[in-house]
Amino acid sequence: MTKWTTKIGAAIIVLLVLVAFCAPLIAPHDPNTYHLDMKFDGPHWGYWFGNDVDGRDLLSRIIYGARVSLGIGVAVVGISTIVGSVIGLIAGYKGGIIDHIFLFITDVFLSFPGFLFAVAVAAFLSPSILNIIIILSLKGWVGSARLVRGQTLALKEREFVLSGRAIGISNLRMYFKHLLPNMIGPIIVNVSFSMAGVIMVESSLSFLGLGVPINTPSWGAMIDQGTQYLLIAPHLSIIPGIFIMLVVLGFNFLGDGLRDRFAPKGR
Amino acid sequence: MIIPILLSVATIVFFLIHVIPGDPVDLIVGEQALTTDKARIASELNLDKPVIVQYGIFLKGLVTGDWGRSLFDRRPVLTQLKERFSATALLAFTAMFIAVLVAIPMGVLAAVKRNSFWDSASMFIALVGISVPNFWLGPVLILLFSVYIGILPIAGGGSLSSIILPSITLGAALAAMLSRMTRASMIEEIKSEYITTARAKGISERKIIFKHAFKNALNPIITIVGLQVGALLAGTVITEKIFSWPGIGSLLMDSIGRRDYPVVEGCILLISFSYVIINMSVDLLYRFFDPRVKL
Repeated sequence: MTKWTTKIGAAIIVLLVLVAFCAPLIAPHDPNTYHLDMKFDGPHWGYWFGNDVDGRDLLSRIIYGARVSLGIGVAVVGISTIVGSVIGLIAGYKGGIIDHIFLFITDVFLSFPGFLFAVAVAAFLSPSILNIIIILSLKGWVGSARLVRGQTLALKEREFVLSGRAIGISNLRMYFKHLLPNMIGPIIVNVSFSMAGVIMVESSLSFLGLGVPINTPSWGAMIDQGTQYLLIAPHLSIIPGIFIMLVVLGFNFLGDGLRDRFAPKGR
Repeated sequence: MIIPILLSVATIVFFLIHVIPGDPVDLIVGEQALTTDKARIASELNLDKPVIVQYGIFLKGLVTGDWGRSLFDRRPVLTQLKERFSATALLAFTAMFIAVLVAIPMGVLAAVKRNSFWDSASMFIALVGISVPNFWLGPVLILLFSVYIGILPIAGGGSLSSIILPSITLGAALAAMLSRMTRASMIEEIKSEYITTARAKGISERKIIFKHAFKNALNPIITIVGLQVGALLAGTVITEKIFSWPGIGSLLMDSIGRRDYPVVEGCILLISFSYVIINMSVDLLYRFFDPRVKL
């Protein structure tokens, strides 16, 4: 039986993907066109979420913002998962000195508060989407590498791995044909939670003005701009926040449900 | 063990800042600045020396307490950090206190009444709480309590009431996570054999829950709280910006805005060091509480 929260999570994510892909089709207005006569207007006919400081249509900016959030999330989680899996497989399977070096490096990374790490790097780089992806991936691989290493250590002692070794299959074949398929469950769970985490950190950085370039419709940057006019136009900060919350909640719900399915012994 | 980790953290901070592409001098004074100005800034920040020499100067300063001077107002970085640190620590600890106060009863209730309405409701609230961005929660709380109801001040640090909204904003995510942890840890304990034994002996349910199960469930909870204090310190960057709280976080953001690199470096070092030291102390505490743990 699938929990209702899992279904809601999946539904939110499907919607997010659809909105991101079809943004030009469903956005009622151009997200960057100024309507200076409608500055700070609250929600009204044709502009369902109101207008921002330059009179741009908030709904259209939120729709295009889905592309920013989802795009950065997919890129960072994709890079982190692929890089992390390869490193984790090697460290776990080879063991010995390689594993020790791996553990030390990841320990140092983990001894750093992740968000501060991102702030520190972003402070010295010019804001761009590519830079955000690099910054978040720099630390993102550590989590999935530790996960994959742990899984590899557990699988390493199983008979199918031993017999594979006995008949002399190559390491590459072992990694991708035998080890990886057997840990795909925990990896998928991790991907779902990581998406939630990355979308949250990206919008936090954009809120601090360290994320996407100015005028990019990012939900975090929209809240940043909105809080400057909190008293005259509260909808500018409240509405984008609801969308961040829904998307993060969606990935958390889905991750929770997937974990129950793939790792019933867990919480 | 703490020294090599602190050293590695300091090294990472140094290289993050110094190896990043782009000329920091250009960022500070602008690309069109006079060459003489550029040279002056470069020599003040030792940027005209090889990276390895800069690293040596950096390490020496770190140990001798010379963390450089602000480019903005020329005051020593360490003095500024000292002025700001107590405000951040106060905020982080209040947030932690509120989170513990809310989360532990919620988690225990959910575990005791497992699969009931209370369980689903509090765990639903907890998942929502984890997903709420604090830079959204802050403004919403301001609107609600300062503007519409008008009972709490918006910003500033001084009066007792001015800390309430910032610490709720900062502690909400921790509370959500902690209540889930408490629930999981309590359920684990309630399932164990000594609880069955206690029930068989006819001990009252209240006593079983609070005297036996809760006491044992507390260990992992203490660990999580301790580990999260470090994360709270990092989270203050956002909360302090929203509420203009005069701590390290707002100093960091102001300094980033002014391109005041020595101060930026100092803030990042201070928060990271606190984070590492707190995490290691928690490790020690954990071993103290539970002698079975050996690492």
